[in-house]
Amino acid sequence: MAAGREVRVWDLPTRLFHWLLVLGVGLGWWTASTHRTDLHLILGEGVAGLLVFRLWWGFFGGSTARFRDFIVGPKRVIAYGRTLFRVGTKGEADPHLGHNPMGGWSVAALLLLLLFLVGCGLFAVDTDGLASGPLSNLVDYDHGRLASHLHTLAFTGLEALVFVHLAAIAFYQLVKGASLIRAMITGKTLAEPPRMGLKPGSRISLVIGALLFSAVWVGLLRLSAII
Amino acid sequence: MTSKMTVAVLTGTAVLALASAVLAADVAAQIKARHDFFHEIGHAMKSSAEEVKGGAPSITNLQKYAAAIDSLAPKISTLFPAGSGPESGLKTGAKAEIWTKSAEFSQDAKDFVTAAHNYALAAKSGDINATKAALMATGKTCKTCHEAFRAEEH
Repeated sequence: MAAGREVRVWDLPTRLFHWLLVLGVGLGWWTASTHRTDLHLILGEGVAGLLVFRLWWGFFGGSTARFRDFIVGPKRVIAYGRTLFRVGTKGEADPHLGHNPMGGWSVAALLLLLLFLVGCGLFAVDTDGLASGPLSNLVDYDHGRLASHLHTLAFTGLEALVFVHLAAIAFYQLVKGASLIRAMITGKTLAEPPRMGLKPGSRISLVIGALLFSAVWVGLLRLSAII
Repeated sequence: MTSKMTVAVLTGTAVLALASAVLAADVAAQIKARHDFFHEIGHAMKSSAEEVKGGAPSITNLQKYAAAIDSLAPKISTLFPAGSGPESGLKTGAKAEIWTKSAEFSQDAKDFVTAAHNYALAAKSGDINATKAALMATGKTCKTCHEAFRAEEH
């Protein structure tokens, strides 16, 4: 591989969001399958905060985290798809800094499904009628149970999307020789040909995003707490 | 086959089909009664939870919900007649273990009846904290039994 230059591709807030989300969803899965509902609620409410942060960051964050940077029209998706199997020969190296046109839609799908999943969880009522989402008082028992079923169903969908996500990472690693995991940890990637890295989000935008995250988490925790 | 035999076989089949249809309707009614029972309890438990989540629970409301659960609870022992499990082929969340591990199941059911009664007594006493604790204890008996004897997806 020709020597390129390392540039910043993912800002710290985006990476933190990503890995906290992995942790939150992973623990959410574990607490659900072991019936630790009280912990599950705390985690799910944290994930709700993370998602709200990510929406904010998608409009006012670093350049590669912005939706308009990676949600692109079908023409560009198809054009990118055509080059997908041409392995990193010079001149055909990935021209995208950040999400490529296909990856962008996969991220959008993951975020939308997670919003639906967490949204259902907020209204879900458990079979004992006692452990329930922080907004379940807005719906009756039957709709709360329905939300609970949809919450479970959405998780099955999430498993499929996560599988595709991991398969794509493996594909880039094994076929295209690009370590996406490393980039999501260090925030850096090899730019070839050399070019500018990401344009970071402003500090004030990060402060607002962090406040949104905390406000949502704390607010939901308070709503579901049995005082 | 003679025509007499054919008639006999057909009649026999029809009688059997009718009998099993009647039985199936019976089992369906049993399952529905059970479902309605848990629905009522779940509803009253949800209302209870909302009351204590608000921070300023009304003891009169809690008394109402607790009394509803307490009066329903003892019925549970009649709601699981043999044959009304998954082997009926009908849609039910009742696991076969209810009948194969009936001693454990009866104990769980008994624990629930006791907890529901304690909840009603605590609510009647007017002590909010004791009522909350008794409500939580009741919820725990639901959960324990559901984990062992209720199918997650049905």
